[in-house]
Amino acid sequence: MTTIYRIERTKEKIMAAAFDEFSEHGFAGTTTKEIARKASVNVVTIFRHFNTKEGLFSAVIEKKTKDLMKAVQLNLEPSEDVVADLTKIGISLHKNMTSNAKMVKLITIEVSKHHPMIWKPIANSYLDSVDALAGYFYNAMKKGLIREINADIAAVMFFSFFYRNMMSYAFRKGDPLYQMDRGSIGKYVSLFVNGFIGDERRYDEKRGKH
Amino acid sequence: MTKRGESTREKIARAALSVLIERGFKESTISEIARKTRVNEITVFRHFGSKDRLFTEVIGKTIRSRFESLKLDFEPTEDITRDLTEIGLSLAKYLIASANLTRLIMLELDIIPRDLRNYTSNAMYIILTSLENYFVKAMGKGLISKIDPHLAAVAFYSFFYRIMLSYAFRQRDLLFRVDRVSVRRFVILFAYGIQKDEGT
Repeated sequence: MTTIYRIERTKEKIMAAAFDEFSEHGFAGTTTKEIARKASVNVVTIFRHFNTKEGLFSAVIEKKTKDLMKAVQLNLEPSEDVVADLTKIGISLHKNMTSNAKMVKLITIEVSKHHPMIWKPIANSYLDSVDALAGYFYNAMKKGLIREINADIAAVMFFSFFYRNMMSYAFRKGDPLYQMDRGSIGKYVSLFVNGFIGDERRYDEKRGKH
Repeated sequence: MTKRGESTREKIARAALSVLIERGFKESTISEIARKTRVNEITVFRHFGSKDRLFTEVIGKTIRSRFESLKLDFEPTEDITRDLTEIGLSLAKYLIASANLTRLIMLELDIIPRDLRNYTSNAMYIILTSLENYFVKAMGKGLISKIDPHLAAVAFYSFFYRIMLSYAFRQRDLLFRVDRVSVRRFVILFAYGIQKDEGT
């Protein structure tokens, strides 16, 4: 038992080091020697577990895409406070996506050229998020919390805002256009919920004027 | 003489672009471009100097000419949703046409010449600024309520940026079909928000 546990720990350590190296230097620029050094194992150990550098790379990608699928499970039941809901959803979407930014870049660069199928788990996990969001808007409509809208477009629109930010993190290591934090996500949600064309009088009533 | 020189130059440029999109920056060679143009490699070098300069010029020119067809300097009218639908359609068309080049630049970000990288980010900043100006002017005219014009511009741009990346890596977009009717639906949602209109 303990031996199996130790072997798994070693494999995990190697894969974690490999992911960092592949993300940083790309497939071609990464050496198993450096991975071994970072994981504090012997190079021979890497080959014993993964056979080749390619084998290690595939194992890393497979594990990371599985993690991604697990991470993108949004539980979205509308409460009375749509703004608060969407702010919470936005924050978790943002956290989720930025934590996967490194892998998205790695896959985009290394694999999409040669193995387009590897995109599938990523694309699917995004489709799941958008589906979950559309479900949220649909339920909020049913409960009469928001007006009649096209829930699918609303979901894509909400998602796109966080997606662009994530891609910017993945490829530029930062977003020059918008700094995401609780406050700024709240500001976006407020724009998303209220829009900018409305009955001025209604706005004034809300603020207690007239 | 000059005319003939120009047309050879243009032929080389066209061949360079197609080789580049097919092979990527690293794998593209002057010899293949020369072969496609049916000229000597020396001719390519005489016209462009180096591989870096050839691609920087070719891509720069392509991006610039596409950019010129992009209509962004809209004067806000009473019909904000119609304005934004036109802007959205124009932006979508431009971004989808640029998808191939964007993919190329993203895939080889670390090895392509800096000037080349700057072309796309400069285009992005010009788009963002134009969108911001539109919202500022619309606010000034009292056509829309007070919002953060930068945030609105980023949100509007993000919607079309995702579509572009989808085209770049999968040649299509499963989530949104770009046509006048759909873009208008997006714009109405964007402009009016999702909140209940208590007044009606």
